[in-house]
Amino acid sequence: MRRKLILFPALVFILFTLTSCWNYREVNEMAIVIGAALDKGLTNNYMLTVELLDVSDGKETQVSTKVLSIEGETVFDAVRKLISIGGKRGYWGHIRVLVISEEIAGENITQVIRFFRQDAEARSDLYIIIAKGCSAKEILHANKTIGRDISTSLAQSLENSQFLSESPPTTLYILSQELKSEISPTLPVVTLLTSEDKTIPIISGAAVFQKTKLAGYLNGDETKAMLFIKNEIKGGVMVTKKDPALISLEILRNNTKIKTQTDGDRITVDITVETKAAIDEVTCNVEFSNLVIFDDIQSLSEAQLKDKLENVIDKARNLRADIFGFGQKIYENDPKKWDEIKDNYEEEFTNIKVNIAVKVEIVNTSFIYKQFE
Amino acid sequence: MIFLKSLLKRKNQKLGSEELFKLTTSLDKNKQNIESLFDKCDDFIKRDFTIMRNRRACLYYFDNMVSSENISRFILEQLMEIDMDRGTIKNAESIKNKLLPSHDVKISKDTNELLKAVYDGDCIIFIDGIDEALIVNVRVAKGRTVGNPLIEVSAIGPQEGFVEDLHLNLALLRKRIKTSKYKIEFSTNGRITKNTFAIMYIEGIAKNDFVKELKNRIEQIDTDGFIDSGHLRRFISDNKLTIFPQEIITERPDRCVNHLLEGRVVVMLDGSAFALIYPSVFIDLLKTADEAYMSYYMSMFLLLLRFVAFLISTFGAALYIALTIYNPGMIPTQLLITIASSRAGVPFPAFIEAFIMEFTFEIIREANIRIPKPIGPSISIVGGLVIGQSVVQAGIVSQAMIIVVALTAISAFAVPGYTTNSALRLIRFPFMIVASFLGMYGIISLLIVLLIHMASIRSVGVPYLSPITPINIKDIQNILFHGPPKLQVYRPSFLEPTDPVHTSRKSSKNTPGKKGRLE
Repeated sequence: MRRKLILFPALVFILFTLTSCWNYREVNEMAIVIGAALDKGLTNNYMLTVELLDVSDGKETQVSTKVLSIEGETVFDAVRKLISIGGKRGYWGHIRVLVISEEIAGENITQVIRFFRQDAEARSDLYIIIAKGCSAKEILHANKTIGRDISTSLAQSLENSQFLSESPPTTLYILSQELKSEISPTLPVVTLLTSEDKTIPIISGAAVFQKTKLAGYLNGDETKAMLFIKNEIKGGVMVTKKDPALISLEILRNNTKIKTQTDGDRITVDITVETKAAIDEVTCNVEFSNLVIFDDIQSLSEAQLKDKLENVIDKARNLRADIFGFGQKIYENDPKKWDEIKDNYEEEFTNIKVNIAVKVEIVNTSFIYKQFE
Repeated sequence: MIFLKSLLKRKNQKLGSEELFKLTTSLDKNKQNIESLFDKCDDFIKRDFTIMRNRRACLYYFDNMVSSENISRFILEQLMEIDMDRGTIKNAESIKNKLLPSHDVKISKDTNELLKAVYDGDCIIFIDGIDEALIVNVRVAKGRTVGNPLIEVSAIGPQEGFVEDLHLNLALLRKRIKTSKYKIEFSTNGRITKNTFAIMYIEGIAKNDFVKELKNRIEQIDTDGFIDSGHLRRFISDNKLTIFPQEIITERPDRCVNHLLEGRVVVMLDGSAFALIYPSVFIDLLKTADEAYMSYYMSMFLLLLRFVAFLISTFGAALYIALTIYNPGMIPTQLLITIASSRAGVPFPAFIEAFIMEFTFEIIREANIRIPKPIGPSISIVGGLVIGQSVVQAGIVSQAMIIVVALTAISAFAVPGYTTNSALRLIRFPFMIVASFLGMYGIISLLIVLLIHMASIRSVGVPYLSPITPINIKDIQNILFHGPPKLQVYRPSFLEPTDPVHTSRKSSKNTPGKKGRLE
């Protein structure tokens, strides 16, 4: 009994001292940040722009968004200075996207993402986007298309990009993994499209980084080719030219294998792409009952896809950025060789011999044998 | 201290036992003794008469508890007959055998037994010259007749419920279990009230130790009396400080039968419409009589549903507090926005808001029970409309909180058994308190403490969390998952039944022959 009397207060005491994060905050006392943008500041180092959810009280749920900007010496400095404008402390646990300006990315992207990686609130499933041709701030100030706020629609369009495969949706977690490994990161690109005196943000293409510095851009089609090589294609459309018609193939499944061989000084990379696709649209009349036509389409699309892959590899070589992770593969297969070429890899990358084998298999035509005349 | 204790003990003894007398051959002496004992008991009735003109006798009974017609017809009419053919009276035995055409006649010298009989509604007869008394059963059942169960309602099960009369209740059980192995043992306790207990079990199934232990526990109680079986359970439960009920308390005879067949022991108290079933484990509290009557899938689903309801009512409000205060990152963005907007402008912190609403609800519930029936509807108007709606409109409490409180409150009612859901009402408050101070960490910590506590409870020696800890797969299959008879072969093994097999495996084979045709 006496032991119990001593044990109980002891246990209760331990219970209270073992708590880790201690942050009592009411939900209505915080400003929920759903998106942020970072530019170079005019008077200070950085300009932080945030999209906040503005919750007003009333019987009905009324939610609107506010976009606020402030400059600070560091990102965290700016984050805390937000209190002086909005009054409430921002809550970063629900941030969906971070837009980074070309200018910052051109210097070094790690200077701004360290805060989001280290802070307890921000999550690593945050999407990072590069603003091309405009400041990052302008993206958050753009006109809404669908939905309540810009950040959510940007995040949604990245989430659904697997059906389009024209941008590489990259979360903070993936980006930091890529920065640690031998792959040059790629980030999705957002541009502003002006139509009918409205500015609308559009996500398309990829920003290519040479390690931490922005080196150049890929357009949507090139991005798709890059995703083919990285084996990150989950869907999308493959348009095959068959004069005079255009045939749209829907990518159903794709499997890409990269093998590296080192033979003395020569490094060879073999890329095998195996794609299963379905014919979804043909711009002229085709008799599908004629099986020969499938072989025709298959070999045509194989050739055209191979062209595109070679094209994007050339482009990456010009930018001297190994966005496909060949270096990582070499390191995995032959660490000793990697140690040799590591320091001079940028040069080495342009000289690697790349063999591409593409196989496209058309698995169905949606049970249509003959289109209308 | 010791002196005080002994003083108290002596005083208690005095209050408990009555000053008894000894029966003598003199009727006048006996009469004087018993009448002085029941002085000022105006319902104690005396009737002097003469047996066959030559022997004086006196009959005593308590008014209102006996059938006056039986006394007149089968006792007085017979004894006062002047027919000499019946022989002479030598002793009490000859009267019993020759003169009293009543079904239950006893002869006793023991004054204790006489008094007990007269309290139970028998009449006692003193005869001049005989130092024994006759006890004639002329009881008549007064009180409620068997009616519908009021609390444990079942849709398709039997519609009989226990009443306050023990003998009627025993009849309800006896007619369902037709075997000599079904034993009913009586005992008496309570210094002043002298309550009758019945301990029921099926010999050859129930473990003997349970019966022995329960008998022993009831015998050892030394108190003025028992008001109801709900009162009795306080004395015989193993752990007297816990919030969890350690027995099934039921008003359904069919449920008693079910548990008797599993090897449990039923304890009933005269004057109480509820039976106590020992030993019971935690899972029993989530079960109802209905399950045995439904399809397996439905009863499994309902058991799961009740368990979820149990979790919601215990943790619902606490989780809401912990998540909104400490871990808003765990709430999906869209939901967080909804909660934030409903909380906008609410002047209280979330946990004070939760306490206000939970307390308000408890007050409404309590008022609803206490209020006289004719003005009952006013409670729902005040409680539901005024408090529920205007508190939100006035911006004192958020809509999200109303939903949480309503859900936890309703969930508590989905757990069967009045004793169980009143336990649940209390558990959720400590959880809310730790949630507001320590968040998720606090909830988990308290949950661990609670589980340790639950694991330490025993019901007549059976671990409270069986069959989960200590784990027994066969029992889990038996108790948690209902299935066709061939999967329900064994009795729960934590009850350590003498005969472990419940249903013969053959019984599931008597299905129609091949292709479903009767052969």
